[in-house]
Amino acid sequence: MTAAPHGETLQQLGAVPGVVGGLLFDGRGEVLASAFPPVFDAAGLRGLAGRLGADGYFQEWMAGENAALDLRYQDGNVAVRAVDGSWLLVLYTAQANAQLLSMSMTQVIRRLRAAGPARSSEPPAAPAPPLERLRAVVTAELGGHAAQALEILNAAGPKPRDLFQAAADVEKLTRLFIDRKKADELGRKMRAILGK
Amino acid sequence: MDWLAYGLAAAAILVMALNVVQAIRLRRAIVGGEVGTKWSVLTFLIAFFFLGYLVSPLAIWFRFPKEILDLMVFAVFLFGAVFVWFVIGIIRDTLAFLKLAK
Repeated sequence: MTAAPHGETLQQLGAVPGVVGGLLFDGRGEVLASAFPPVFDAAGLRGLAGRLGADGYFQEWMAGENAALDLRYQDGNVAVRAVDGSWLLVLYTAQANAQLLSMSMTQVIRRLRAAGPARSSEPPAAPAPPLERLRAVVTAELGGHAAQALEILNAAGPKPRDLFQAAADVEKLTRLFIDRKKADELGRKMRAILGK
Repeated sequence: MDWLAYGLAAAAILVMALNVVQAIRLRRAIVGGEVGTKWSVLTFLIAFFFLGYLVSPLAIWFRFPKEILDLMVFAVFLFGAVFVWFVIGIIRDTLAFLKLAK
């Protein structure tokens, strides 16, 4: 099954008043289908899928067939639902009717499941190496303040011991100069990636 | 003798005013973390000292009683010691960071 029928299904979500767009992505961070207005950069959406796919907490929270996540912000809301090993992410405004949106998402998820698993046009990639995953986690957590931490990771050697040391250094850097709570969270995620 | 004291107080107020501006500017440049917290305390102490410096010429002018002057002096000693404590903490954190950056 290609991504095209899934894309058409996602387009139906766009007809719901207040819905900005939808994105279907898998655990490797691959975008399987997308229905966002052209103003949304495709690379940005791929980056978002990649960061969520690499996030251990996200994968943990969103495991299972009925997993759901709703995030509410001032400028818009995000709803995420699990769909057979992948996730449907919907961006909508505060003006959207919650009940209508919920019913529409349920319908769309049913159709996506009926259409079968989607595959991206790219061949399946091997799991990302730990260093890449560490970089993704650091970028996602620290955002604009990630440069120094990424330098530390880039300078680390390939051995697991070097990666552990680099992760500890990044945690310390975050604790000293950015935020203590974020340092704890980042440390936990990096240790989860490194298997400790 | 009083004029010398006023002159020294004026110079101290001028330098401390510059310190307040520098401290606030630097606080904006620091994102947060332990160093950010310590810098916030330092900025508060610098502002506190600045207020004290502004008041100090009045102590001479109005001939404050010796007991109050003594209290002021030892309060400056205490807050000065706290200030130094936090400065040492920031230097230690900065050295730790430089070690990471190697």
